[in-house]
Amino acid sequence: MKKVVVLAPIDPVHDIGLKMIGRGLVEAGHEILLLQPDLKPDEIIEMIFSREKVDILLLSRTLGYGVGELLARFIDLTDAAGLRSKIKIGIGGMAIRPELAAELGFDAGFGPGTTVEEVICFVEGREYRPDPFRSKKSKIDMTANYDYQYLNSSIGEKLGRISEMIIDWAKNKTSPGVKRGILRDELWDVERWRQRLGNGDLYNYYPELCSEIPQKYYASGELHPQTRRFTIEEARGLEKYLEETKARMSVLKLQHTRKKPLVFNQYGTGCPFMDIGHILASEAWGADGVVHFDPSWGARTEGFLDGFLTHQEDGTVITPANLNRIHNSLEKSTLWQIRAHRGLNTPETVVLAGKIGADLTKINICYGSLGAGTDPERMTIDGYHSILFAQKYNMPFDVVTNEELAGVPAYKAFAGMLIVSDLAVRLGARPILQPLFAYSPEVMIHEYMEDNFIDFNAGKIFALRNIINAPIWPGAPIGFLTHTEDRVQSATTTALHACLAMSLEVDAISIASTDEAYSGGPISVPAKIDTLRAVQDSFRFFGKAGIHPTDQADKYAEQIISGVEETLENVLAAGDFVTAIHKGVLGSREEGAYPGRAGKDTVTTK
Amino acid sequence: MLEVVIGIAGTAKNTGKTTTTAAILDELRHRGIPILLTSIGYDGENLDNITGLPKPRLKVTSGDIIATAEKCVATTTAKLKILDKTDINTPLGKVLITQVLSPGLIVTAGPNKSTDVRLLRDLMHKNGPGVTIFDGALSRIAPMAETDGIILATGAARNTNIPTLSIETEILWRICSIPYTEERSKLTEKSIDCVTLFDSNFAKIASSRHSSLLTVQETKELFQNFNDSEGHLVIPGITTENALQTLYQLFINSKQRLFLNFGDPIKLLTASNLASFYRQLEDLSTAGIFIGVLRRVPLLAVTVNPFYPEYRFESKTYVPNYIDFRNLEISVKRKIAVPVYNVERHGASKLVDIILAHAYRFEAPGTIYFD
Repeated sequence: MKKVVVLAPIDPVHDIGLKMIGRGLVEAGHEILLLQPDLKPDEIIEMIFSREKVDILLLSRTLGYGVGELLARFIDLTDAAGLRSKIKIGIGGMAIRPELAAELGFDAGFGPGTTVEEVICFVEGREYRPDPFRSKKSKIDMTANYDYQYLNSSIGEKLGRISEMIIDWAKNKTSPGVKRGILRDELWDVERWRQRLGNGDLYNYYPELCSEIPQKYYASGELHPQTRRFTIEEARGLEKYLEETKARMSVLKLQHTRKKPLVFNQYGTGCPFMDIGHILASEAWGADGVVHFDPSWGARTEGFLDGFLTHQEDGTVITPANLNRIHNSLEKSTLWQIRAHRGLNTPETVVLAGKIGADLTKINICYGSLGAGTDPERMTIDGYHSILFAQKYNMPFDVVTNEELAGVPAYKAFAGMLIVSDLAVRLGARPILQPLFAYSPEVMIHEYMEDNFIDFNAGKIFALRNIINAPIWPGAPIGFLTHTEDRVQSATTTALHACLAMSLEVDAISIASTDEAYSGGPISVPAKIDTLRAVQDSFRFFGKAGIHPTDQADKYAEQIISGVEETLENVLAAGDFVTAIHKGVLGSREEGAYPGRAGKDTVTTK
Repeated sequence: MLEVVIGIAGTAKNTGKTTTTAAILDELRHRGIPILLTSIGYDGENLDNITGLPKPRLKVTSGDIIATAEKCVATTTAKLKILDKTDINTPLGKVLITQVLSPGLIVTAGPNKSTDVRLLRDLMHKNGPGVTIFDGALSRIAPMAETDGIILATGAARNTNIPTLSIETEILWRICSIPYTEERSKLTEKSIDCVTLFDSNFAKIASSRHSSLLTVQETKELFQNFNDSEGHLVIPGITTENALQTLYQLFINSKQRLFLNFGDPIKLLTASNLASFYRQLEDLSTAGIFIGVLRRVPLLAVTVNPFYPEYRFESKTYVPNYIDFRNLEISVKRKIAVPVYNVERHGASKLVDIILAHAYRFEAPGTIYFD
């Protein structure tokens, strides 16, 4: 039914929003009267009285100064004038939040980001349902369209020989990490545990495979010194928070007209409660996936603790209860990655992730050995079994190349990534290549980015595409070492790198919050929203248009490919993969990569 | 067996409405007087929407009758029995009338329109005698028109300038003190909805299409055919300085007398510039215009609060700050002839005495009178 709507800006100048809404209302067949800005409240009421019939009054307010008192006075005036019970009154604008409008007694409040359709629904008395195509998201398997065939047969052949070498080496070897992974795989029934029916026989065997901190925990209940249990009140608070937030949140989509790349955000504040808040913010502002960051001490400790725990350090403690709480908080459409790649708990992390319901994990033997402090021999056997578990639990995993940040040249990091990927494909798993988009030490020294940040990063993608048909997920995060303390600058560089990734049609990206490198503690939600919004609008800006690298990108690609081939030859020449790591073939001490020591001499023969 | 409906109105957020309400509730409870509690709109639950500072929530005890919205019933720590579900809608669900079975804290969210306040007042009446309190929200004042009297909470959060605050309070008090119109019964029996002019015999001369008198033209049109020696103009809604100015000009050089009758004083309090509006109103008497109201809503008392939230630019937060209390109290007391309190310092005993002085005999809803 046709409605008569008066649109009135209670503002000295701003009325753009009302004009847009007015146009939408006319198109929907309603009669409107758009008043000029800066009328006094009683003049607005006078205009309404002067009309035969008015059904709805829509007000707008952009300036935030004294808005509460101003609007209270306005609504009072309509009440005293006897209008309040006769017409519906809505208020919108930059200074308005629905909660404030409701508290003041308006029939509706429209904050920033309101659509014209939403207001039309209010006018017509219909329930507003956001565009289902915008908010209906589903999980996407980014590995689905790739066959992992080599386009560079020479590199493919060398990788095949290296994989055979590793498979042969791994036979009959094991480690405490592998054994815990197998225990968790065989003895722990997640469904029974979820029904509070205990852990079966797991903890009869588990503690003896752990180092001191978990052993103490299983013997006496003593926790890691920086760690504490959540109280019952806190757990209830979390449930209440989740219920309330879920009831009023929806999920966004960052991509505009392209489908790729998927956008991932990391969390790992140390507190699962805070993590869940961060995850909800990521989801509400459009992230397609979230990445669980574990604490660095956890990577160097044999075994996990148990219980719903929080701590004040980097990364969030991996326990079944922590992961389960986080899992339960996720939107159905959110891809969930639990990184496992670097420490002494890699195999068990993959098993836990798989059993609790993660979609993706993260494994890299070379980065774990060279950049994250785990003994190469240990990392190799643990990585090998982790890949087998990832295959078993149907979890694709990315192979990260963050050793570049230590100073390892991209071609060497790529050689390591391709070795792990080839091994994975042979073991039936689905790896995802994760080159860095970064202003890395190698780039700085060789001035590869002297003119622009595009060519070298594009060259990396061209190189990988010339080698293998596999999914590519630059990270983690993109734009590493281009960020500063200035949030706008950080959001800008992240968004620009995201657009490069979009233009290169990669499958996914990981983006940082704008305070990730400089937060001095947990990152903050506003900083997370900074980059999500920056990326969303950058995708909107480009649409299907793209960024064109110069010819230099192809030259960098050729340079990387020949470097990869040479590195693989050197690995083969070393005769053994672990020996090659120790020798610096995949990243040397001079370059800044040091073989790790955690878990040294713990690999045994069965 | 008495009853009275009181509104606690604030001139701004953080002037102490909820603190005043809580203190009155405690005192009523102490005296064993039944409590019926609700609010005009709601107060953004625990956190103040604008400043982010926490607000006290109201304590309720067994036997209290509370009218609040469905979502507030779900979050209360008190045990409640639902007595009635009203058709009054709020953003937090329909208003429920409940009885407290065991004590706890509650957030009240009641109607925010005058018509709904009237409706709820009648529904609450069915639950027996006692003191009904409508706790105010933000600086909403209009729905207070449906109460039997208001207690005004004001203070530094409204204005940190003590003389300005005192003058403003004085005007509020003066408007609330406008007397009943002389021929009230003759006019109220007519149930007047629109602005209407009557002659000296209460015969209708002219009327407008709506309840408020806003423009010069409307005002002039009303008086086009007015030639009696005396008239009665009823304005059930609001009016403007322009309209008052026109009345002044029409009558200043005339021998005719006009009785200007407003629906209630609260309608006048919604004027955008209260000080100049009141000056205009005062000037009317020099033009032979007598001002009265058809329904009084007296200002029973004023509570003053020296607290105000001060904005700190460096942290982008509000921090508590205070103006000089004695100076504030004395300054306001000098201006008005109703008691001034600070409930944190003085308690609510005298406030409750004043409230009870305005109570009237409770008439059960089923009472039948024989002529």
